[in-house]
Amino acid sequence: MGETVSGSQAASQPVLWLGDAASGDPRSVGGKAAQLSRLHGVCEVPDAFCVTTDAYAAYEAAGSMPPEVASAIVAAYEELAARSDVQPGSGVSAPLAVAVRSSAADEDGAAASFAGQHETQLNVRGSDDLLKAVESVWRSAHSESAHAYRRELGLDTVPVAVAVLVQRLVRCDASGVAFTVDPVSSDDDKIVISASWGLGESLVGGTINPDRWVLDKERLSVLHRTIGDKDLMTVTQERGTHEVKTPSFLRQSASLDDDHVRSVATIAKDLETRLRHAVDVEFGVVDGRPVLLQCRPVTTIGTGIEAGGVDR
Amino acid sequence: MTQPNRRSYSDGIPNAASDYRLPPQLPPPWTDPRDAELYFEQDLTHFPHPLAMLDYDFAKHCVDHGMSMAVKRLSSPFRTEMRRFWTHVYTREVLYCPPQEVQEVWNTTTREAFAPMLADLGRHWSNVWLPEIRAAQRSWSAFDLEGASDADLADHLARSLQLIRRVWEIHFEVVYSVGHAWNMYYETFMELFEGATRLEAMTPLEGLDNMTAEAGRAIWQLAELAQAVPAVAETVASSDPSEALARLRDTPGAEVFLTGFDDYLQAYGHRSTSINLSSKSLVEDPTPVVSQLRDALTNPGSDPRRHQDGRNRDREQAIERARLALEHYPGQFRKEFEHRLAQAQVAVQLKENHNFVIDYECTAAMRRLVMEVARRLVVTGSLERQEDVLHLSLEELQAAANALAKNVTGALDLSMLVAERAAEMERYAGVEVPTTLGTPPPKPPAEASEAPAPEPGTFVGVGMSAGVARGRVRVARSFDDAGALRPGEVLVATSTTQPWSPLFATAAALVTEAGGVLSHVGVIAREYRLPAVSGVAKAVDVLKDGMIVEVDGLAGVVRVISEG
Repeated sequence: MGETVSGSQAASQPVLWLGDAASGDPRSVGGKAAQLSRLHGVCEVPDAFCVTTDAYAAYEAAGSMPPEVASAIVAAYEELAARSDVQPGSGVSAPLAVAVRSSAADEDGAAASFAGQHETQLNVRGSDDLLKAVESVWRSAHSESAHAYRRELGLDTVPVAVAVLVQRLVRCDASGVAFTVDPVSSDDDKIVISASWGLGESLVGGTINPDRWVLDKERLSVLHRTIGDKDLMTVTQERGTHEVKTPSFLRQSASLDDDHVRSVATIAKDLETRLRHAVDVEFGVVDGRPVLLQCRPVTTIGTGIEAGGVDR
Repeated sequence: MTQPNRRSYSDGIPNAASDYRLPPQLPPPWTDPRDAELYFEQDLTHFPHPLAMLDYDFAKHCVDHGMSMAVKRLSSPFRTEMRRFWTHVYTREVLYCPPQEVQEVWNTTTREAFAPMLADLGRHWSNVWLPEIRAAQRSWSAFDLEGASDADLADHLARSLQLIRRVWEIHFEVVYSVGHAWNMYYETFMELFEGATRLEAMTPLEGLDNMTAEAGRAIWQLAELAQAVPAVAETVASSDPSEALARLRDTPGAEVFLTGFDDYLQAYGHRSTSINLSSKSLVEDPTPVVSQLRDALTNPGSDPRRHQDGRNRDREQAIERARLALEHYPGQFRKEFEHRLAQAQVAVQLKENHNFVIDYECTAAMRRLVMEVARRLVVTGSLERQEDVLHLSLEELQAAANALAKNVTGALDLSMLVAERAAEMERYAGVEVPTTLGTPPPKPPAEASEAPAPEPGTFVGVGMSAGVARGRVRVARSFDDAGALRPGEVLVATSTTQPWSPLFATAAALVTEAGGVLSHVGVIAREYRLPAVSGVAKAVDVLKDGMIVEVDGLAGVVRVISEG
């Protein structure tokens, strides 16, 4: 299916599809996309393509979006819509909603997570908005806060290259983050999962008090369960997302049932084994199925950086 | 004659009825001066007109009982109590928790009790409520009123009065379920569309069919039958409605219409127009149907059927808008919204259907029965006219039916009683009565502090469980103290928790300082039918062991009868 827009000559391609062999190379698609691409088929990940570092280089050289890059992005977007059974211009769900995320070549490496440093745009709809979003992510790679972060970690202040991941948007019923090591106590016998209703921004942004589970990693049994009073949640709107009051009957009810919690933990544990490194997994649950949105090596052990704090 | 100043009835009334300045034609409404501490409002919604004694008694028999059952079985935090003053109906609200907690209790405890019904209201109506109502109606229509012996008729009256009470329990189960279904839907709708109006929330529920609407459409179908024969249409449109039917019987070509008319009455005419026994059913007096037909013929533009498509379209568009907005929300919310919408749609239908079947059809059946008893009382000379039966109390009616059964009506002359009650109706006809009576409920805290203190020896709390009981006070500051409680004593405690419950069977009444319905006091006390008052400040200090007190669990009042 992807043959029309992907090819074997990765270096000359402005766009590559996740799951294709060439997408496993972080130099072309960035660390985040390469990681996800390798997990394609291992667990459910949203259909996605990547605007490559080559495309970024062409943009840098031209000072604006080169027409051939733009048309490749639009063609891939239409292909993604076709794969998602959404016909452009038909029905209430068209045009296809996507998540646009940065995937820098040195991002999501084992030494630095870059979480939240580069722009992510959820619920981008239509090719015009998509092209704007891609450019915006490219520009954000130069943003002040990203530079500061890089300086602190001793990386080059100008990223080597920035790829942009374009994922079919998953309208999650609930979303969350799973750590295969307690990010505060560094206890690696546990899996710690936080989750809340809707999209993950309210959780990741730390504006709410999420539900939390602590599982025994060996037996995958739930050791602690804390249900938070989740007063806000992030949902999509016509374009983009916004934070709304959580419907009252959902506020204090668990955003995941224990079966979901265990299947998320199973995925996280499996990814840790495959990557031979503790992982931080961002996931969504839609119609009862967990979907992997991002997977990063855990880089903040012992620093207490995690949304929602830790219950004891 | 000076116009009564309405404000004067509720202003400046400390505790005694003697302070009332009623217009000369209105005597004090109650004999027990303590009633002045209660607060009554005229129930103009349900009873806009003066009620004859039997109408009032019957309504109270049905409504008070039905609501009490709803309170007991379904943990309703409130009910209303009916009273009749100067032939008008007044009600007062009886709360089973502090006023500020009513909403919370209603939305939690009560909603939970209704959960089995709210899971599928339509199904509950079709499979549980309606069959039971229909069974009662069958027992009434199957009974041979004219052919029954006096003894059988008296039995049937007694049984029917029991049966109608059960029907009214169902009535309040339906009414409260409808209320819950609406609240739950409305709450969810407002969360989806912040700042929406009530009207906008109603649109997805509009234009659905119900029995009242069906009966309304049938009128227009009858009008079409009338229009098919110009002479019939002309007669209906131009005659006095009370004479039209007689004239139609002599109108050539009217046969098809008259058959249709009879079919209509059979299907929809066994209804009263109110829950009063005095109101005739449409079968007894079809004049209102003829009037509606005349209006239909003379104003064809008001045919409600022509708006149906538009209302269906508005509804479906509103639902579509809601579903579009819901697309952004978690599936759990979409599912819950759809469920609440479906239940609210059924609720809107049941709101009409239960009135149709219970309030009107069942009342009409009871009227037929009562009028048969009255007919026989006229035959024996106990009553002068059949309609005079409406001046009897329910108890007097039953006594009269039993006297018929024992063939002892010779000694039963009801004419004095009837004359007295008829005179009472006449005396107050046209007299303006106050719309509120008694002591208004406490205002918000700032003003409450200015409220007059209760009489010495009287302590006011919140009624938690109905009933009046007297007994010796047993103060229990702890659960251990409570072991000293002897049967028939009034248990006085700061608060009670679940382990105290067995004591509720020993005590004559319960008085606590704290505790709302949520704290189990009310729930358990009602389960034990134990008169209970909570919210009595410093109860364990002001009430002392050995005092004799009277506890009114409905009014929420404790009175010291003797210091012991």
